[in-house]
Amino acid sequence: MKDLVLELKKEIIEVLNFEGMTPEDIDENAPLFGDGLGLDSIDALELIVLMEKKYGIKLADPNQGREIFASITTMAAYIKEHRTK
Amino acid sequence: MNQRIAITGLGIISAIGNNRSETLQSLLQSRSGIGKMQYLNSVHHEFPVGEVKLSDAELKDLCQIDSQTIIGRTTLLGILAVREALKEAKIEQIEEHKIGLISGTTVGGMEKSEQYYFDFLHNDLHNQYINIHDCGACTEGIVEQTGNYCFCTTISTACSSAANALIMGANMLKAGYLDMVVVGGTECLTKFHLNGFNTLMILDKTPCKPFDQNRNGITLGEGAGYLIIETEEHAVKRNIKPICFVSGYGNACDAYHQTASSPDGKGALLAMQKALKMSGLKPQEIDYINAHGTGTHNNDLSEGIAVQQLFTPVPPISSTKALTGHTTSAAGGVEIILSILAMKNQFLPQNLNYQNKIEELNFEPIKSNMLNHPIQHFLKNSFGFGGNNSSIIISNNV
Amino acid sequence: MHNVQRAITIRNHQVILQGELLFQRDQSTPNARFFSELYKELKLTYPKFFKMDPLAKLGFLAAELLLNSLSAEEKEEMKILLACSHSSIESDTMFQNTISDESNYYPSPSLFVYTLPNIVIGEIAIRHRIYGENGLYLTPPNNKKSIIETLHKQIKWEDNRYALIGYLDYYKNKYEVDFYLIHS
Repeated sequence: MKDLVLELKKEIIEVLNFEGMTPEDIDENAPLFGDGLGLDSIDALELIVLMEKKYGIKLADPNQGREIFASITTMAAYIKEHRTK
Repeated sequence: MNQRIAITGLGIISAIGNNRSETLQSLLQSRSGIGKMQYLNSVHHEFPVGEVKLSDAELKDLCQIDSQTIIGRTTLLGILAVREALKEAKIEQIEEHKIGLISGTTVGGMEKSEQYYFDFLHNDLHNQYINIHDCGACTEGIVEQTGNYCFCTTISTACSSAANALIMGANMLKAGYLDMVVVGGTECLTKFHLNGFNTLMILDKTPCKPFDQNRNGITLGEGAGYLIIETEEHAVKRNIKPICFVSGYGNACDAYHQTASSPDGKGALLAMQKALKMSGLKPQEIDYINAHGTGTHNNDLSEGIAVQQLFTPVPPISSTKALTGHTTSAAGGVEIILSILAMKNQFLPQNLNYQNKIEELNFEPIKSNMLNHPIQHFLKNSFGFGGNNSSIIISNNV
Repeated sequence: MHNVQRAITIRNHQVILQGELLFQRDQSTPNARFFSELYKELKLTYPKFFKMDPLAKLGFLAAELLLNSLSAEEKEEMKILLACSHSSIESDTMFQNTISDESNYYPSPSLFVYTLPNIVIGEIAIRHRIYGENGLYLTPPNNKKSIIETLHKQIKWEDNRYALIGYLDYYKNKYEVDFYLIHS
């Protein structure tokens, strides 16, 4: 799980082009949207693409993503349970 | 000096008709042009689209352009609509007038670039198409086929482009830089923007349902809509009876997100307020609103909230996008013309595919065509990504 | 052009504000690095900056320097009228690259939102809470001077006391921006 959390942080920095940010800068329990990392609806879509590409998880409904993408921790837990690759 | 801006010509092509009279028939019968993809070469057949029912070859034929000419679909649609508008305004020799062309497009020649992309990379077979890729080249293509304008430019503000072309044109008339302006927009369907909207997960797999509680996204369309505008004084001098008048317009920025509308609809509200202020009209004098109404969860709620903040009660309102599909950069032109056709024929056009009221809103859109319903003033909203919101008020001849 | 209160130019890795060289980097510096170094020099904390496309970054940075003397109230009704030549071609190409390889086909939504040239205006407006009229015009590069004059003539003075007008462009690693703050 710890590895997955670190991996996710690195992936998010890469796919969302957070130039100059390191995994240590992200608190895995802080909200990804709103106050925490400040992600928005477009970033959510980017995360949906990431889920499919990297972990083989298909999310059809963007609203479903809201709960899964609450924080890195919730995201990692969902991936652990549903990943197909 | 009378500075009223008169509209003296209209030209339109979309999924519901290749010209003005076909369009009016479809509008009167609420006949949607949305259907299965026939012309766009995409794998995404799960999405219905509002295509112009003509191939590129047939469009060239209609335009009387040689089949070998290097020209894109956006330009072809534009040529047909511009010619129709010029004809109605009785403008035969462009060179004889101080006339400009302001055209909105964002997709430009993309449909040819995506078709020949790999050829561009690997061989020189289709390099001529590179020159017609950009948005400006589409406007220049229209110029080549319709006459030598003394001013031409392209506006690219996504789905509000055509409405902004009208605003810029009206400003130039008022400032005395031009006597007449052809304003509007053109856009063909492309894989590029269909895929783009799909990645944003805002395309509906069934024909779009604007202002419905269960709306599920956009249905893309294509088309072109152009208007001839000139000062009333100039129209009178030419002995042309204006069809109607542009009595107000406003543009405002939503300043919220690249693509999403703000939850309180601030940009939309500001644009409508500015248009009303310029027109000198009170909200209760607006007889009809042709909404931007894309059918996305976000737009219709945001726009609805802005509308009900300004209008009590909300006047008859509809989105005509369930007929034509969302013609993106052309939408402002296409939908102003649809509304003018309704105004001149005294009916209120239906908001097709509507069933259930949006819970958060206090109004319902027009459920079926309301005949014998005079419109003196209508308001048209046109919003684009980038938070670019425009509202235009058109008034009937008095 | 009259009523120009402030002017900024950024090209060849030189930032010139009011005719004075404010910041520069060696010509060999990659554009992305030049933009981030300027961002750091300005001591900004706006993480969204890093997600913007080059055209938006360019406009954002120029606007930052041009508008920093204005109050929130002065900015609210401001108008933004800009022109460019190569539109969003840089982002269009990047987006096309995400859909051109059939075996690795993942159209990127965050790239797609930048395939519209007027997003740069949106980014400036979001940053500065500017709700006024805005428009983006496309014109050939050799028409730059004339379009800036047209934009200047186009400004309608209503509730606004300021307008931001200018030209910017980003194409094949070449960029330039000329912004003017016009006072009524």
